[in-house]
Amino acid sequence: MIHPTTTFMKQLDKLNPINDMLLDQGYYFQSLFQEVCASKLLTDSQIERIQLEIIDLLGKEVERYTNGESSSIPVEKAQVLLQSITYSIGVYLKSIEMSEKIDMLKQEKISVLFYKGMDTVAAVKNRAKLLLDNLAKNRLMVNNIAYQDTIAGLSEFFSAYNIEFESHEMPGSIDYPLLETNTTLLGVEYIFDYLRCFSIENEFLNHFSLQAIHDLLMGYHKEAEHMLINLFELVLTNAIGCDLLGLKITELNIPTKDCSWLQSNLEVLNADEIKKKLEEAFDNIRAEFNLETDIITYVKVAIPQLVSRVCHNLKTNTLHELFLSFAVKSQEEESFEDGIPMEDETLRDFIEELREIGVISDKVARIQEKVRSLNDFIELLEECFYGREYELVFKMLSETERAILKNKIREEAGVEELADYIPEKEWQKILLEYKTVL
Amino acid sequence: MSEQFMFLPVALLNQHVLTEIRKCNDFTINHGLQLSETDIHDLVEHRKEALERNGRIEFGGGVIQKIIMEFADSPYIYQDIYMETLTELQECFYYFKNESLEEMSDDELIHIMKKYFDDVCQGSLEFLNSSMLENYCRDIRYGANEYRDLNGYEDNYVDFLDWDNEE
Repeated sequence: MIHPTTTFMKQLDKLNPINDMLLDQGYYFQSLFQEVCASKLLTDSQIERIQLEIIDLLGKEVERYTNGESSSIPVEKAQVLLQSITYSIGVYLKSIEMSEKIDMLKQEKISVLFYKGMDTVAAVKNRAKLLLDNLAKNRLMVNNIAYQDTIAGLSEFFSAYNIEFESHEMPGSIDYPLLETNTTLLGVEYIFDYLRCFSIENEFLNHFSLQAIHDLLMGYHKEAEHMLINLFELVLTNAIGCDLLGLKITELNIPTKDCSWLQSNLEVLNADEIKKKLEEAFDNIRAEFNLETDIITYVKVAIPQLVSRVCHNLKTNTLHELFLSFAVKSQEEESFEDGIPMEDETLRDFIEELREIGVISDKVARIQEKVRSLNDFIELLEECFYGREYELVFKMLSETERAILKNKIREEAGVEELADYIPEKEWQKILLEYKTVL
Repeated sequence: MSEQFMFLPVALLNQHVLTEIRKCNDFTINHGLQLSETDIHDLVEHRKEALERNGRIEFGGGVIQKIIMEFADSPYIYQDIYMETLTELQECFYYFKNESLEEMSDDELIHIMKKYFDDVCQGSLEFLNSSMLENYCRDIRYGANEYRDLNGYEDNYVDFLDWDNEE
């Protein structure tokens, strides 16, 4: 006896024999075209028409690319142009229903699909730009080079992205590893997906204090600044750990003795029970931060990975490597050592460079990246910022950095207590009033 | 042909060219030059091979049509060697298109080929290939600010003679 569900599925398959999920998401048009041809959804003449129209369109694109000066190009370049054409068409086709896709292939000219594709690609690019702007605005001033450089480097994508001739390419640099990325995607779709995931992770990280994240990173490795690590994964793991221990989630610190307690409590459970525990802990985090659906969906996918890592670390008795405790600060780390100041000319050029940057967070990130001397930093404060900007700058600095600045003011003023000092400069006044402002 | 083009049948890529070459016969007949149907197919076949050898791809009628029209009035081309010369010129074109790093347009390259072929090379394809165009493209690759003027090809010629004497 045939099960009614099976019959229904067969009928569905007849109506829609191509499974969209099985198509290659990067080379979507080629993949769809092959499936459509294999399923005999197009006649031979329709297939030939599509192929001829692609050749015509490629010829026209070659002409446009060479400004009509050359009818032949190197094969590698032609591959790029063809890939760009098929990518744009693919992006458009992805945006419509399967039955409509097949109708489009049957009836619509390839050039029309290409122009619609370029419009769709441009729309995705605009949406991705909005995500990046938002991300740059809400970025953490955390000390991790890959994190900071990737946000800065992504803006290069939008200036260098060539919709017409290289729409499948991804100019710019992406170093920061995310918990999840769809590596099958190409071009602006990949960037959009990357930024979407990055924004979700960043939104979650913004629930924690910068100091806690910094201490957690130091607990992970003292060279964490230079490492390619996913901050979200570290923070989420420790937040879950804190909840399991009944500690305050935002603390993020899991002391070694508590970790041993966690080890003894978790090792008696099987994988399903551990999964349930971790999910419950995440439910508490969700309720505490009132998380939105997209973060919840994102994390739900990550939980099974975390479960397998917990199980592994339990077996190897290394749970402390997963649930991290903050590093104990040594006296040496606490002391401040000034770096080498820049040459006058280099500093002048750098001031000019900063003056051209409009976003304050970008200015501060650039300073943190390049400036190694306190005197240079003070000069930049005086030359490149004014008025309310100082508040934002000081907000982006860590407690230690603000303390070092205050100490410098005290030394220069030659006073024992800053309360006795009447600041001469605007930035000094704002820094000394900073706590009151908050 | 690369994998990228696998879903485009090669026959379709050549379809336009046949028609375009046939049309040229109407013009070249005035200069006593004509291609038979076999010649046209052979020429297209050679074109495909030349493109593959030089790692290039071409759309539409392509350059063969332009080469035919430009060289139709050459005093050094006559019916007996017509097909052979066109095949050589076609190969030469794609080779030097690569050698010039795409800096020259199709029309510029064909024009220079014709000028050298008719004047200093006196119809010698070997001289054209091994010396004149080689020198010209080398200048482009070395970023010479002013490429050799078409009227200044004597420089190239002298280079060639010097080289010949050293031999």
